[in-house]
Amino acid sequence: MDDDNFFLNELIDALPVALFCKDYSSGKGIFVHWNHQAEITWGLKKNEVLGKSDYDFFPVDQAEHFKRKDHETLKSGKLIHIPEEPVDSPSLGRRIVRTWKVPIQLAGVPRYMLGMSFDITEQINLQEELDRERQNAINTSKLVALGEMAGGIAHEVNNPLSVLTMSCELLKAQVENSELDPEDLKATVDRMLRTTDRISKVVRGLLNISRESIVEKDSTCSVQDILDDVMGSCVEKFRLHGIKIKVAGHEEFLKQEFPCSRVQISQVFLNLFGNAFDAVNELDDRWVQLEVTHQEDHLVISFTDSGCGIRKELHQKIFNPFFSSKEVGKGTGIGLSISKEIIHKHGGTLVLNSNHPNTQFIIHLPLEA
Amino acid sequence: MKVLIVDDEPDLCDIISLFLEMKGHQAVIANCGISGLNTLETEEVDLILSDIRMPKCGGIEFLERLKDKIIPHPPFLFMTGFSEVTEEEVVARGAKALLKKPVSFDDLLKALEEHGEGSS
Repeated sequence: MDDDNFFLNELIDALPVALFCKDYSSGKGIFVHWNHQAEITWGLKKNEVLGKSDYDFFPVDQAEHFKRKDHETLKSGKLIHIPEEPVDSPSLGRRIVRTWKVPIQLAGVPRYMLGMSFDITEQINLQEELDRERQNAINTSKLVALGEMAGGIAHEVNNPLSVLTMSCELLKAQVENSELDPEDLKATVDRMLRTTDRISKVVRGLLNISRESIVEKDSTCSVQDILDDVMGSCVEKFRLHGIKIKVAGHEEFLKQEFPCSRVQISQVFLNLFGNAFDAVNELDDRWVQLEVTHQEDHLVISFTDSGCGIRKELHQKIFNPFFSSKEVGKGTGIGLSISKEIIHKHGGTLVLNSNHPNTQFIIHLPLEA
Repeated sequence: MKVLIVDDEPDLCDIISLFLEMKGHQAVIANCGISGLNTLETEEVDLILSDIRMPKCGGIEFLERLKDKIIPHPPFLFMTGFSEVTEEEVVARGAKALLKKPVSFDDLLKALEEHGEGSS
């Protein structure tokens, strides 16, 4: 019998889980078991713990919490799971553990509370670190996008500004020369109005992309609206590199309103256009095509570029956060994962069409909320 | 004086050409370096005023190709709204000057007088 007991104690001590047992026959929750892993997890020796209660080691609020959970376990008569609980160890400081508690009955009366805990502190810290890094990467990618956008806007606004300034100069020179014909005047003023309209479009698009207040959940807009918003900041970049942007599809579909956050869908468009730009910029044949069609109660938007598709082994990876096939410093590897998340939140899907000879991404978006 | 204006912004070409005509000059228009080179096959001009950033064939490439094609080439002026190059750099390539967009008409007239073919 002693041999059996010894063996059992050795067995319990060898377990890689912190195991402890409290006696509740007097209602106090006195520790009667404390294995080796428990010593490691809480930095408390068996001989310090046995015969004492949580109140002797842990802050009162935590001791109260443990006692409450113990009572819950004893009362329910079932195993309970506590996914995450902080414990302030006197020697190790704050630890986070995951705990299971089981009631043990003697003659039908709940008497002991058996607990098992895993130390998940490192895991939690790692997760927090990963979350922080992910947030940093998101911020970085926003900054990169913002920088690119600023460049695009400078291009897009500079030329029309020149047209305006020089139109004014022309008018002034014509007045000074007494050569101002009403027809010429009208032509120049029309040109100026057209040009200010061009600048306003760029600015409006920029506001729509950046202003968070437009993220009204039940707002609706069309693919054409989104295109108007994003084109201002990227059309110049494409034009300068001789990359053609083709828009296909029936006008009815382009103007079809659907429920969405305009800002977020604009982000997705900017991202897909940006990827297409990087993919085709070095090719001889350079174009990007956006096509809008209709499928039952979904709007189908495809982005196709003149690239020759994505290598099969990368099909799954491209949607993973931080995966990038672009050269170091060029991509954050987060654009497609964020885009997919955004479309998903809208109840739609974003997939790569691997059957297309070119590179094609397809978005399905529901027409009804 | 006959001036070739090369810019992908049609409105800008129109304005400059209207102004030059008002001042008694002639203007021909092209929207990129390649179309500028084509124009020069049939037109003889006294001065070229070219933008730098243009799709297909930008201003710098246009000047380089012009140097191989027409020797000696007409006086060449650049205009740009950006700060991608300095005047020293374009002069080193064979241009006469770099005008900043928006180009003031005073500067344009001065440049014409100073660099136009036939000016001393």
